[in-house]
Amino acid sequence: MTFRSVATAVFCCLALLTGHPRSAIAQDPPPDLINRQIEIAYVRPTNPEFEPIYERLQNRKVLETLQQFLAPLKLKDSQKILVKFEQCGTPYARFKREAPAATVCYELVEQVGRLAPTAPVTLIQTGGRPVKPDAAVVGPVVQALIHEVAIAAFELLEIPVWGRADDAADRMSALVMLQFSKFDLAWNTIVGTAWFLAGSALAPPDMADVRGTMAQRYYSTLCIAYGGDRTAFGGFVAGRRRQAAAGDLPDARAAGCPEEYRLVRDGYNTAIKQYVDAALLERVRSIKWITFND
Amino acid sequence: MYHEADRMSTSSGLRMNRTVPLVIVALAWSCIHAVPAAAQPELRNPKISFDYYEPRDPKFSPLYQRLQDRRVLEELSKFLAPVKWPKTLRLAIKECPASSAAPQQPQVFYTGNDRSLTLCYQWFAFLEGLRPQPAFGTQQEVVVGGLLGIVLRESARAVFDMLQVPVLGDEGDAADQASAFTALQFDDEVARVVIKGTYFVWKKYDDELTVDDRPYNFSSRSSLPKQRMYNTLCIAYGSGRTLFKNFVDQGDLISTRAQNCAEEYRLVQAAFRRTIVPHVDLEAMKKVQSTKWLEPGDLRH
Repeated sequence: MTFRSVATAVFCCLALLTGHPRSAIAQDPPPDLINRQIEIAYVRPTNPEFEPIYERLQNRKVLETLQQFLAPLKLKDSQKILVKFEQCGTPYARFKREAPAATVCYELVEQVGRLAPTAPVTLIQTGGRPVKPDAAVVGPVVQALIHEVAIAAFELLEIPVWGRADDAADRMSALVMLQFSKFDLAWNTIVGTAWFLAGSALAPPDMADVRGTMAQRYYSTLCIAYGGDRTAFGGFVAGRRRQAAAGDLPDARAAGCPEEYRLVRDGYNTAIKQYVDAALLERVRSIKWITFND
Repeated sequence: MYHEADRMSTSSGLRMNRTVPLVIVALAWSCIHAVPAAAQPELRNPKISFDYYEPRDPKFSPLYQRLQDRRVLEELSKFLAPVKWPKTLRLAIKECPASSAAPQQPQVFYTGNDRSLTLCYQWFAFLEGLRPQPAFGTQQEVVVGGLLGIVLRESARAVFDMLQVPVLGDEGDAADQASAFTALQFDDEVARVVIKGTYFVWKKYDDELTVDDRPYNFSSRSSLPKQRMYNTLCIAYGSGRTLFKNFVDQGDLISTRAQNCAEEYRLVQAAFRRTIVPHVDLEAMKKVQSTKWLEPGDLRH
């Protein structure tokens, strides 16, 4: 699966990004696994506040690792995807067809770090599994990278996108993250993403924006997660606990989540799967990329 | 930017104007209001059935009779005929339970379990209550446009479901896009009326939230009425037709969103060509295209 491979790469990259020791990476990726049609760039920020983030990303070779993990993605001979970190002036950069690139902004990475807890936090929804600071940093950046690569892939591979493209990319990100349940990556990245989206939802919503509001993105991400794995994410559903809590998926929404998940999964199988090298994908999926620390 | 000349044809040479399902609704409303219907193409698709259910509430009885006399669903079925439906699509008009539609949701809906597209009598009553400011448009414009827009939307959901169209984003937003895009393939009159009417319906729902002091429900699967207002306008503005330029000039669509609307329209256009057009009988479609559906006189009041 193309996006699984993206996610895998990102998980690895982000472990490095967050400054964790090398031991956080559970296994080095095989050196022959690489997609040379993925181009990368670390664009030097003009704002000195972002300099440490820029340095860390570059020193850790985050995007180089991403190239390896995107190996299963089948692009046409002349096609390339540029993936870059850049200072954008806002947390999100719009994809531009005339200068196509999957861009994750330093502003977003900075915002993610600012909202992350400094110690494990236990939520009613997560029961005995606290939200790890690692997860709250890694998860949202993983989500952002998958999101932006998905947007670029939609365009390059001429994948038909019904519904708003950013919403489709959010759903695809959740679908990808769910594929890593056996490494516990799904739980940590999705819960980490949810933590960030919930924190960001406190800002006034922009109803005219092309994206859904942060609160809507929060619920949609959790809905796809619950729809795909009702055991792992059942704690987020109000009706499955005695005590309701802020941020619960209401029962009315939760009831339709398996169907929402099915739609995204079927959409992937119909429109995207053909662009993924199955053998390379299996190799990518066989590697444990990261261990989340407290 | 997508220009007028491009709008008229696709790469396959197919004119996508007047995609069938949408048009039918306008006819239905015209019939209800005894507006003379335009000449109908001779079209029939055996994969479409229709049912008029007698309402329990006597206040809907006259409407029930009128709709039946005017053969509204039969006419609708003609317009849906060019779609190569793999299974039977059931068109139904019925009185719906009060709880059948969530607040801020039109009472027109497609149900996948029995592959039915239902128009509730209550929806017609809601439309009749719309009262736009004269500067915005006439009541008939918003009624016809609102009805067409929502029926187009639910027809799109039927197409997505029965033709197994991949939908990567939210299905409701996708259906809204398909509705607006289809309307934009018609002549200026139909395009303008459907976009304005659809916008007005969502605005009405949004206004009701404000008046009732109800908070937005961000946990809902559907986009909020205000977002759907903007989404509809954006597709229209993104089509490049000067007809919709005033939405930006008047501030109904903010410039930061408007900048990207051509791209949003292009994505919908590409998805339509790749996933819907292959399932359309082009000859049947030409017959539908040859009909003029709205007369300016229909919309004066």
